[in-house]
Amino acid sequence: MNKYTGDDLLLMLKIRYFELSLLDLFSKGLIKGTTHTCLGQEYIPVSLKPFINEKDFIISNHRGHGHFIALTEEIEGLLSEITGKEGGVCNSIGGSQHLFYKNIMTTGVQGEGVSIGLGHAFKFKLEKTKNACFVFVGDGTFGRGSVYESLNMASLYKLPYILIIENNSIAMTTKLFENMAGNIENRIKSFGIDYIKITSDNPNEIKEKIKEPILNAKKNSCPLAVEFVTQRVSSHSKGDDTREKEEINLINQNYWYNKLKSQNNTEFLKLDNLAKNEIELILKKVLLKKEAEFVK
Amino acid sequence: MLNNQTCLENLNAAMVDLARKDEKVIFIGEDIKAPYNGAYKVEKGLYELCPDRVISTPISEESFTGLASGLSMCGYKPIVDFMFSDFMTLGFDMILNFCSKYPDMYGRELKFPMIIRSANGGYRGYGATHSQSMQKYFMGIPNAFIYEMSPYHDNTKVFNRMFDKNKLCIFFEEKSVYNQKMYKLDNTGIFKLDYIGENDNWAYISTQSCKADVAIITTGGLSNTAINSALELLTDYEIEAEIFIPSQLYPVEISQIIDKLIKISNVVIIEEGTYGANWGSEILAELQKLMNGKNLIEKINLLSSDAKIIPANTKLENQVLINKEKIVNLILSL
Repeated sequence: MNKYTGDDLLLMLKIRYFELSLLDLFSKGLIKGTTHTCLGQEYIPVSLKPFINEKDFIISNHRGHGHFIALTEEIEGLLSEITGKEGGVCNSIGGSQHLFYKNIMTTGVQGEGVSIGLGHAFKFKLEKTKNACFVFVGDGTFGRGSVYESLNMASLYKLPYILIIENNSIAMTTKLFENMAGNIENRIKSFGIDYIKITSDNPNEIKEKIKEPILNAKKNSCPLAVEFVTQRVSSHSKGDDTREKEEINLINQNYWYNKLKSQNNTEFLKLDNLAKNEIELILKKVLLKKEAEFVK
Repeated sequence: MLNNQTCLENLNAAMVDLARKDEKVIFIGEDIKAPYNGAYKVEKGLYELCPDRVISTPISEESFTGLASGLSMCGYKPIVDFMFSDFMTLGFDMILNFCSKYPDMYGRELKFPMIIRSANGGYRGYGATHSQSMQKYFMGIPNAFIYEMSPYHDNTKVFNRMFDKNKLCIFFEEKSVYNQKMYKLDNTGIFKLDYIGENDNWAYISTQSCKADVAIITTGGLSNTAINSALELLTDYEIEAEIFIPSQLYPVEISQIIDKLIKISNVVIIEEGTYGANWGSEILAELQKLMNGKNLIEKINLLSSDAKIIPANTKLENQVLINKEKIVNLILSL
């Protein structure tokens, strides 16, 4: 517990309770469509947050609520968006997978963000602004050809392009070993791109490891890939988990939340309650709002 | 009007003019840097003028469309060169699922100036995968506008018009048009050129008599074929044809010419694309809507290339593609 910073933990917990409340709303039939929760991966955007400023650009994906919340803290706007209420960050047109607010954008089709990010990074290089484009992908996205086209161009043009890989070793229901020959590290390195592997789930440890490489990518305009070896605690979207119980149990045992909770630390439990209450309050407020209409 | 200018020279001059006047215009595509200047030399002079804004790419159509999209989001105005329009299928995910969605998908109106331009069409013996007329595959997409190069539309004006839309525009360039002279009609002086509609969208080519028997609606790529057909119909059969050529193909702006069409009893819509679910059927649907149940036009005929793949052998290719003989025969049969 003492290895964690209170602010980081609070943000991780807020993301967790946000995602849990979405699953609850789905089970009650209060949200339609689909949603992909990031339970188990909450610490990743929280660890990156200090190195991303308002002039950088972030492109996330279908599993993007955690990134969005960590980087914008616009929880009410996101919840309104997903529940179809007034005041959604994208006026209820985008929904869970198509968000664009301030400097973070998400797309619903895997492997689009990797190439769109090239354009933002190209602008940063052209205008010599010392910023970077951060692109989030999962291990499953490595099935897409655009990933390799884009890595090639990012390296070729020496772009400040930072690929954040959240390797939870499962794509929907298909395990990484059934999907991928070789490994991510070798694929990245074959393009001559700097690569870091992160196995920790502690933001303080992670920040220490990624700080210099990220600053270097921005300062010297060059691409970087950071692979987070992580785990998906929840199902792919709602109820589509085909993993064995034993496997899910093991994942739950390794879940940062469960590890910290089992320590019965009062400070953690305080933060846990704080986050839970905040999300509950926002949820209550949002559910009372009017249904969204077309905004022109 | 520079009457001796070829369409390619006019197009190249448009690129140079855009690059010179707006430093946000940026060029993306394969082999577009000097000394090669693109497969059809459309990018000639750009690299010398603004090397930072000429991005020569690997063979990565999907991702260079993404690169362009990102730049458009950042306030740049990308002009993306697909070497052959047949390869635009490789950028289709970006075109349909991002470029056309972006202006509206995020719940507020966002600007997305971007032009994809590409050499298009047959008659050159390139074979089945390098000769297609791809326009029809990109029609009917909300927020995507389809244009075609014509000898009667100044490319600088057309490109500025496309950028002003602040949405994705796709510009098709018939390969056989590159070397045609701008504004050239025929050598007899029988035809005259006028314009109809906003932005001079429709080039209107008619005889001096104004008593046409048939209206030909066609695209810039077939304008020469259409004029030659009209000339033969007039001199050999005393049938007068008027020709309508739009710059913007889709959405079809047919209301701009409906007043002219209803004065002519026969309308023939001619395109180079394959038969079925095409530009002609779209115009037909729009015409029906405008006529509102009244039979204002006696006959409307569609003419296209066959529903077949395009042979590489130019003799066989000509049998599959639309040509002057097919146009004349159809009009004689009316």
